[in-house]
Amino acid sequence: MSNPQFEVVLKGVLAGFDPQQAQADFAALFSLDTDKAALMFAAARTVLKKGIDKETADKYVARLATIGVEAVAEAIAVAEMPLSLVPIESSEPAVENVPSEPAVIIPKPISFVKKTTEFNSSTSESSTPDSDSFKKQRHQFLFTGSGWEYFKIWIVNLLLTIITLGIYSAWAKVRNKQYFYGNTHMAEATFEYTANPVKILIGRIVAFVIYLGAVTSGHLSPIISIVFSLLLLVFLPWIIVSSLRFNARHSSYRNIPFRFSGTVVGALTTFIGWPLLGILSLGLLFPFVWKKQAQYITNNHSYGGEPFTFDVHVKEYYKMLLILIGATVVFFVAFALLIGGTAVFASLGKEGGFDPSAFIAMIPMMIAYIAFYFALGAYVVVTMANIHWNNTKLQNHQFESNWSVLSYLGLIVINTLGILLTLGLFIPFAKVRAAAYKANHTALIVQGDLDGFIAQNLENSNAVGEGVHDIFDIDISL
Amino acid sequence: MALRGIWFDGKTSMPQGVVLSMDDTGCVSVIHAEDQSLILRAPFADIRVTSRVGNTPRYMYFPNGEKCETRDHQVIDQWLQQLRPSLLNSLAHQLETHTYFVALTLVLVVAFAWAMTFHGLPAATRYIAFKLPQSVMDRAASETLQLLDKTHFHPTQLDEKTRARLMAHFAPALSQNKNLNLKVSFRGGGVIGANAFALPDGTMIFTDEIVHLAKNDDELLAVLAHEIGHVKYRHAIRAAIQGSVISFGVAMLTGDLSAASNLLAGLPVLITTMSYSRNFEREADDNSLLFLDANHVARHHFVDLMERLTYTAECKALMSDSEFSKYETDKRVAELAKLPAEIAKNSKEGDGSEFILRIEAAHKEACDKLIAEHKNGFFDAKVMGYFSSHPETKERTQKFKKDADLSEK
Repeated sequence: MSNPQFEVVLKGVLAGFDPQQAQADFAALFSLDTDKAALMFAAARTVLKKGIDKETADKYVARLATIGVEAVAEAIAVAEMPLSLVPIESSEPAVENVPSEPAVIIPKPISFVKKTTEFNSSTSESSTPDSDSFKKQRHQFLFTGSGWEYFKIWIVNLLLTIITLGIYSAWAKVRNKQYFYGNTHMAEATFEYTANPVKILIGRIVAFVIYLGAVTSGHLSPIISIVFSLLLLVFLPWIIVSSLRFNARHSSYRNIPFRFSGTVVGALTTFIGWPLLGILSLGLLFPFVWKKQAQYITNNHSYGGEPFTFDVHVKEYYKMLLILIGATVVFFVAFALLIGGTAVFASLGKEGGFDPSAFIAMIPMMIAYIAFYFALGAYVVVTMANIHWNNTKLQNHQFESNWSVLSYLGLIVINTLGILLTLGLFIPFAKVRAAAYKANHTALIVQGDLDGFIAQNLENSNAVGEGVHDIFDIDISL
Repeated sequence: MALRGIWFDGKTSMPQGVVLSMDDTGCVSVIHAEDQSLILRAPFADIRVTSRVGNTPRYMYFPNGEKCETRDHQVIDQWLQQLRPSLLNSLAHQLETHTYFVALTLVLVVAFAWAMTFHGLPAATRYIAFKLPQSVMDRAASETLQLLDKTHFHPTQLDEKTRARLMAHFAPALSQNKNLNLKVSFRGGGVIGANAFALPDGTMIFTDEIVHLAKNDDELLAVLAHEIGHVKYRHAIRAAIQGSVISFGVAMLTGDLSAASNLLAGLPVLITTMSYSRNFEREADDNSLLFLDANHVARHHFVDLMERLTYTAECKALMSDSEFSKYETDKRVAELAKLPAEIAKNSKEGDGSEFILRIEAAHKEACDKLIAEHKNGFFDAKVMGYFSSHPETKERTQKFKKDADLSEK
């Protein structure tokens, strides 16, 4: 179990690609002649590479997707199924040729040509019908959006929103979301955002009226404003719940919507009760808070009547907390020792007006501080995501994530600098980069297949909550 | 003309490869891709087609909730064109993919953002600020003053006589603006040093330090007129509104991003609010200018005090702490030495005041040297100017000097 072995299995040509061209590209990539390649595509099951680790297998799959060839990484269940090591149906020699050429693929940077791909179902499932509901297949999430393409959508959305005095923002939201949903692929299908813009518009109008009320009441009378804040606090859990419900209800995959069934009382205990307890315990109970919140969000979501389940020993969160505290202490001690002198000097300068020399002296401090802030932030986000996904299941299908602090740090630093230097015009590129990162580092280990989910009756959901949530931008970081 | 896609019946998550074709009557047949069996036939009119977003797949919804996911945009668009011609259906996508339109949009959005930030928002805020009732100002002011008293100010050390003299000198200016509820108050400035403030309710604070720094009362009168400008034009409340709108806008624009990015999102907000602040200062300066001219007070008083203030602040910033405190103690000692001389009255020039002059001269020399050294520093005033809440002193005094020349001629 410690070092699971994977194999890459050829599935066929992705829809939307020309099969001839894809096969030709495939042949070129593996330095095969086209006949041999055609033979491999014709075979019921062709293993391209075996006995490799998961990461390498994913690289193969991703690289192949860019030329329109579908392949999946399958775990080799060593203990139960030694048979699956040998491809039963297809034993042509071409199979053995390929693995000897890993150098063809690996040195090439896995650059996602942002071609949109669609997984073709007709070629995939028939391969090993007898062998298993046990068979594990690793389905990598794949994001195929491109920065420029999204930039155009984003800027036109902005313009139309301005021209229509905000009315178009509801349509803009749906288009924005659909761009990200529709470009996210997993196991032969994409996600879809199905919300009706008119409903969102109504929600936003209500939310805007509430917001105006909140803002003006603050100026008119202290008492009204206190009453308003209290009301908002009471309604906060309701807003969170209806927002989650609306979003789940209008997210669908394979024509089956997701569903959120959390209660307001549950939200109240999770997002107000537990954090209060965490604060009262001076932070000692925060790992429990994080766990409860992730659990509330995850376990209340379901797909086709099957709930997602998240469970983890709380010590994982404690480990993170300890590292956080440790890093902070070490940083500030080092900070004080190394640049303490400069800090004192600089703080004197601040007293009387603005002094350039003090500002210059403060620059290395500021850089060190921002770098630390970013690194710590990246560590928290990455660890939270990994703990969350690596312990989340849908039925017996296991999610898997391998975010890493360094690569994530690179992502957010470039995104932040880009947004700053372009005064915000980089935002669409940053969003696409973030989405691609998430997809590339998340996968679903499917036991058998994903075909057995059954649609449930739809419940109604409330767009007002979603609208309020949007306006007040309450962050439920999951 | 056929279209390939994946079929989801809406009951289970089982995918099915399908081929869709349309006959002459506008009826769509859904055919199983492998065994070529017919799954469904439905008139195209009953099929809902989602609008195109970039290169994401299109979804066709059939009457009973079945869905076909396809990427054959050309075919589907052709069908739509034939049977359901509608500009709205594809308008958004056409705009989004039209290069010239996108370029135009970029220009328009940037121009709009710029115009709103520097013209629209200030104008709207100005309008709103003058509509707000006085009670809003009063509440905002009392909270601010309480906070400042707690954190920065000390009780004033000025004697009764000085304060009465200044109040008498200020009286005409205050009575000219009766409707503003003006009130002058003195405080020890602490780390704030020589400065004057205006609160939204009409309270104006002069620190002891600025009173000491002024060579005559007309200089303080010029500053008072500047502060009255702040009250009159409701700068404090306008700054608050503009600042919160800008931060709200930036938060809305960047809200979806990770928390780390939000840290630096504060930078553009800071630069913008500082630019607003500089414009308010200019407006207040104009008020002072008008007042001085109308009341026949020489304009140079404002310039003199402003230049002295800037010089002192710069000096203090450049000097090391020990140097500065040494100067302060030297001066204090000298002042104490001056006292008996004053009591002795008219007995020539007291030794004390000569001593003070000597100390001040030495101090000025040291300061000039430091300022000259830092003149060509790495951070040009241009860059730093964007982070500054006040316009450059040179720019401010220029206005007074230039117009004065004109009026003299």
